[in-house]
Amino acid sequence: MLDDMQKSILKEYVNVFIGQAANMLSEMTNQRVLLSVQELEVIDMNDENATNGKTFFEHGHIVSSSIRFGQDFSGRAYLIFPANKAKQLVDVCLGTHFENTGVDFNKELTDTDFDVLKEISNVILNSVVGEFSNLLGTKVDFGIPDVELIFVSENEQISHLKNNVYMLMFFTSFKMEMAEIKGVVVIALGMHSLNMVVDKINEIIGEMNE
Amino acid sequence: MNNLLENTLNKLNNGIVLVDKDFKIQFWNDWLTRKTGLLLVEVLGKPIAEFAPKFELVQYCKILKNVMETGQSRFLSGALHKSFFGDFVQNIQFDRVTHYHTSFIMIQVTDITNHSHRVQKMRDFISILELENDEMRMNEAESRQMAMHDALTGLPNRLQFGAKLNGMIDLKKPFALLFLDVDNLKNINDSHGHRAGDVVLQEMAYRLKMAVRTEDMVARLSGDEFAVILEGVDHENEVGRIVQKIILKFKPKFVVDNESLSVSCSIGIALYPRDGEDPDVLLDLADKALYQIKRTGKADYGFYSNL
Repeated sequence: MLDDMQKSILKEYVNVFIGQAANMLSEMTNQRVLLSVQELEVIDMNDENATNGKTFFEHGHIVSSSIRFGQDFSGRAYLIFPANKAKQLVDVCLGTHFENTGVDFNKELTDTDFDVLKEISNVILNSVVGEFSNLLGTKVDFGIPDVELIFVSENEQISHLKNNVYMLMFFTSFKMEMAEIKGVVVIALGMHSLNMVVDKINEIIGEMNE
Repeated sequence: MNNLLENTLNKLNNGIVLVDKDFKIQFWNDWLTRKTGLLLVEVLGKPIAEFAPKFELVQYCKILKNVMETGQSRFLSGALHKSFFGDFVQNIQFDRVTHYHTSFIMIQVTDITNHSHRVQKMRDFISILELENDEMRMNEAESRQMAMHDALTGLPNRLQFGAKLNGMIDLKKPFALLFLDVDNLKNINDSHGHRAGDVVLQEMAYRLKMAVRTEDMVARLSGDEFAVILEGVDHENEVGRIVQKIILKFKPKFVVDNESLSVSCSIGIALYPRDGEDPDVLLDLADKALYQIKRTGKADYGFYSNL
């Protein structure tokens, strides 16, 4: 779907987008936060070969924040962490000490934790989706994310990212003084919206080659 | 309609502030008045930073500007940002709203002061439930223990003995079944009282357990009746050796209230599978053997097969 050059450019743009989010998170938490996209995968969810036996993110308890965005460029954006990592991220942001001892998440992720995760995902997804819309020169509407703690088995990963055709999966690292936490930013697009992205990337490549 | 909307906003259980492009207050609902003591007339048209000084900080000015310019909603958690209005912990949400090409920012304020209290209460409640659950499990275990054991001697009772007997037969493991009876317990009870009789029974239980192997079961079936299952033993010579040990254990006197009492027991024996394969039949045969010993002098043992 996307060749290496296209993926490389897309990854770099999203790195810039989440870099802006990192600045805001740093201000929010009074600590240096570095966000970077380590890897990008583009998946056609209709292609069984592409999805069969593939692990997109850690199965088990996950925290999934999502927004639906719309108008011309439309789809769904997710920020996904394993639940224990989400808890660690919250504790680091709040400055509270945390040791990952395999705690029972139904008890340990509190209302307050979900509020903090909502804010973090609001900042990141706003940046990513907002900057995508700027890049494409189009208007995009979206709101505050919904945050869920859910259990996803290995086989259910695909159905969690449901009703969408193409997935741009940005495997992201959150580096802070006390921890490095890995999560996934997923932009789920239909064919039309994906084509908008691809066309824009091709335009950028064309400008680079001139 | 304006009055209806205003009345509706004033009934909400959240704070609502509307600010214009210069961040001056255009609306402030009753909830915020209750929380801050500030009336709408006092705040109307004034910069929001005058009543929520945090908005003077660059970080929050930028947020307001970004919401106004981009229309992107923004959420601030109370856990990270604490308070803007009043002194209670609050979540804040900023949304851009537009009216006839004029944009405003709607600030929604939610009091989350009790959230952490509720969470702590819930945690405390869960801890209590867990403790009660542990107690219940312990009580259940104790009840099960009591249901399967004799209260006086602590030995397995008839129920548990029956289960063991059936289990051995199901596994087709050879064993010897001993039926024991305290000789003249009634006389001890009559002459020394039932408390003395109980002490004798407890001591008898102890001596029986000392006489047999760890894999063997000693049970109290009722009154002065005991039973023993000797696992893996079905030859008379071998059984005889163990039974002799039991008899010897009864040689030393029983001391009850500083008085020495001679206590003996009679033992009837049936062997599985030699004498029978049904548990009730085996019990009956051992009982018959016991009865014979009682008739012929007591303080001895006998096999059913020798009757």
